[in-house]
Amino acid sequence: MAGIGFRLQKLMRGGTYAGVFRAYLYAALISSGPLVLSITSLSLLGLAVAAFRGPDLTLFFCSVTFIYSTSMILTGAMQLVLVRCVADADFSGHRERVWPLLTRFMGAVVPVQIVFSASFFLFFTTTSLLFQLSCIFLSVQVGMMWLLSGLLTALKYYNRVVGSFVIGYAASLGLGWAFFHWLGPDWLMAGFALGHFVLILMLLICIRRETPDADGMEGVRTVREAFKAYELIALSGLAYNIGIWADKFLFWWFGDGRIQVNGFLFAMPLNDQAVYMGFLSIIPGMAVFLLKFETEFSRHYAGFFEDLVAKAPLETLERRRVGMVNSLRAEVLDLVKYQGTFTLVLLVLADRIMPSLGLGALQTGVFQVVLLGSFLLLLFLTFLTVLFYLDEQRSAFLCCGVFAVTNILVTAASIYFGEQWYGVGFVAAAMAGLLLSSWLAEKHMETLLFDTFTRQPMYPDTP
Amino acid sequence: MSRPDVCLVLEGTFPYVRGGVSGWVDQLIHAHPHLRFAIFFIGSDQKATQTRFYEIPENVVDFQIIHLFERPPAEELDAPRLGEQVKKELQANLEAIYFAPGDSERIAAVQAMAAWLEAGGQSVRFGNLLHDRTSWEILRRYYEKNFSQVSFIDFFWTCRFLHQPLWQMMKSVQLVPDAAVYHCISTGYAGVLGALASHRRGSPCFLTEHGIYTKERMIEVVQADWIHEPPGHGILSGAGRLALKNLWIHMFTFLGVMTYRASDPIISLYSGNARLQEEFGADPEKQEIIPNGVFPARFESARKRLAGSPDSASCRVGFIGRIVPIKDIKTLLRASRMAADVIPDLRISLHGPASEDEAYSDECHEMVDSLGLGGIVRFVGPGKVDEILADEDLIVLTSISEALPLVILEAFACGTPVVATDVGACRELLNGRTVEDKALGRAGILTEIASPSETADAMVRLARDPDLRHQMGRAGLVRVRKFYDQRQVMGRYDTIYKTLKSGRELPWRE
Repeated sequence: MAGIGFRLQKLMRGGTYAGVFRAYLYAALISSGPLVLSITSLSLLGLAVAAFRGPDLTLFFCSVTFIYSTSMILTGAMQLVLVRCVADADFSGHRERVWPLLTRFMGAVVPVQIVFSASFFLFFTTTSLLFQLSCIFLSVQVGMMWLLSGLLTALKYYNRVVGSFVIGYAASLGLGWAFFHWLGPDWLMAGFALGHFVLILMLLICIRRETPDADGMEGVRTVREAFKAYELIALSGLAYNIGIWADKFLFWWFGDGRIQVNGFLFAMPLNDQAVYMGFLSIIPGMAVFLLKFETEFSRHYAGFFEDLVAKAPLETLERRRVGMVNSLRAEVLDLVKYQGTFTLVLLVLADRIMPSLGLGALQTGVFQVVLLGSFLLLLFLTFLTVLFYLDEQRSAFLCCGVFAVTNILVTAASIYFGEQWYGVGFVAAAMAGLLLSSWLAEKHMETLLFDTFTRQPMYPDTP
Repeated sequence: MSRPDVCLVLEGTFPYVRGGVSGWVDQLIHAHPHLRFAIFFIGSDQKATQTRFYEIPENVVDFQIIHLFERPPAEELDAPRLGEQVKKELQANLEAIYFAPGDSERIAAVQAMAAWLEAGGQSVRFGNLLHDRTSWEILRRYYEKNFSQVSFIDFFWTCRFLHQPLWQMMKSVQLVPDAAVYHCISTGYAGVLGALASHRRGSPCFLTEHGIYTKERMIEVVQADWIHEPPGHGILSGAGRLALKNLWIHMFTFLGVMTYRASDPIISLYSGNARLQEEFGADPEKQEIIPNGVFPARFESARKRLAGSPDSASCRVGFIGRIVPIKDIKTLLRASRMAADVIPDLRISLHGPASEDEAYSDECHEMVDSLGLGGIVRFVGPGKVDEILADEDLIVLTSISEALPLVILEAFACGTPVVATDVGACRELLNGRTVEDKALGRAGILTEIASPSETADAMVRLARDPDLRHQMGRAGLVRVRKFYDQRQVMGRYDTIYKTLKSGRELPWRE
């Protein structure tokens, strides 16, 4: 009989929603993970150093800050791309690819960190060789730290990450202190870096244990391929970290009241301490947010995809979508309530707390501005996370880009207009990011069904 | 290049597929050496069109091929930004198709959209239908109107795969060569493409259907296990449960209706199929029956040899066909047992390949043993039809389904009577179709399907009565010469081609 009829089931199964869904595995990372953990550690370290009325530790702290901040900017893109690839491998049941993938990314991060920190500390500072080598060593550890902790966060080993950080930081401080006392002030950095090595080892061992052996490199993306596949994610990581640090660098380089610590290492004591203290205010909000987001929003999100794959009618999917929108709104409202109250209390009490910590009126002003900025940043992160959940890479990048550019421009302007404007750059950037990301998140949640279905290619490129 | 006289619109057949229809197309082209043919072939994908099983005859001046299920080129999958005007027009076109109140409106809408894609809608790509908001909103409304409780993911993908070939056809109309007459050899995609081309070029279109496409697709869809059906005890029941299967069936039915509306005449092989066509929307006014034919001359020597062989008391019975379940060989074997009980020296030969369904063939062999038919039934294997027929006094067919079995015509051409089940065209072949035809007398005995006793009775009756055999054989011979002579059959097509080409009314329409 004549006729070709219709094509068979093979193509009917063409629709896989894995690509969208797996985005969520790494989404929470950008806001929740090691990033905050590290900045918090840095803030605490800063406070400890400030409170420590002994020898002058400015050079040490300033170098650590420099290493942390530059490595975040240098490896932020790689961290996000690696984590996304790990999520892909995990989702497609190829956990054995995690380790080879990691080795490839480490092979990229380590040289970058060595080349950058070596050229900086060897040529742009006049410290002792021991100190310089310790800094390079620390720099490599920190670069690895971003990769490893990000990866473990994506695989949801939160407790292991936090545990490793606590032990690693205790080791860093302990060894730093011990080296300082037994071997001399110059050895502080070496001890601190060695403590980080402990942290890296713990993270590495954890990953090695939790992922199966690979047969080879088959199916494992190279770093170049990964960047090509996730260009926008890489750019988001870069822009986001620039956005976080832009105002600090601008103050160090151009602000009134900066001091040259050593060579090209600058500090702005007036600003820095207030900034770190202000940033610490994010912790309670972060806790609420993480808890809520991991439970409420992701439950709705997962429910949406479960229903979709379980062949629910459109009505049910629409209900799920509305549920997601409502849950997000409720979470943001909670966040505003708790974190808002906390911030408000700190704002009011700032006049009393600051002087007792030995900080002046100007620093209190900076502290108050940073409080506001951190509050806005937290909200921005919430919506940014939603965008990553929805795999809206373009929008996420746009928000990070606006965040970075605003911080650079407004901070530059604030330096030009004088001290009373300091801190405005970060607030403006967080505000811009918040407005844009909330608008985009709302918009994408509105069109979730349309996007989820119509973006599926009819003929997937990979079988 | 001058304009072809006839453009054959073919779907999944000649020259890339072997089979009855392909052979018929081959003969059709050869039978009209004075006409220039164009072929527009619709295949599923590249793989399906790698080997040609037939030479392309010399009077084929144009050969086009499209693949409906091949992945479209990358640029076709893009979704370029459309201008506001184009967007509006696209929406109007899609709405007209999706929400058409009836077939006539939908047909008009499909024609309009195909024309629009060639004019104002040139910039539209299939990607726009896949990814744009316009088509999404329409699909969503369509879903809410008719399918609101159905699995949305399945609905969505069903629509994508359902509509992709339709899109491809609308875009392909432009590729169909300009011809004086369009001749579709099935409904479905070929029929619709013929209909659209005919509308576009203003040339008449007609249809020859061998099997009934709509019915074949319905059977396929009903049997398909990959179309989602929720379990019966769920909230959905009855029609809702089968909504997606119905979606497929509706589309194929619509393709049929669109072809039938555009075609005149609508030809089938025998009255049973004509009734089915009518059921699926063909206008009886336009229907014609033109059967398959044979060349009686080819069987002349076999007939003479048969006629010359001495009338022995024993009667040689033959079956010609594949050893497959649809031929119901088991009923034939049971009937043989019953007949052999009455006529001990009965000999029955089964001619045909057993390779297609070896399990069934094995079962048949076992059955021969268990019925004790060892010395009576022989499996001979395939052979040349005229040689086989020269050695058989009676042909038996116990199929549960047939169209117009050529083997009956071939038996008739040798003057051999036939015992056949009452399926497909068998009744009109054995008893005659028209009054004039019936007057020629019966050329064999009809039996119920799956009735060994009826088949056995018929065999016994003919085996015992050589005169009846001769009489029936004679009727068959006259019938085949008069109504099933291939030259005459093809002559009817010649008439149709001529009249349609010259734009005259068909001669038998007063």
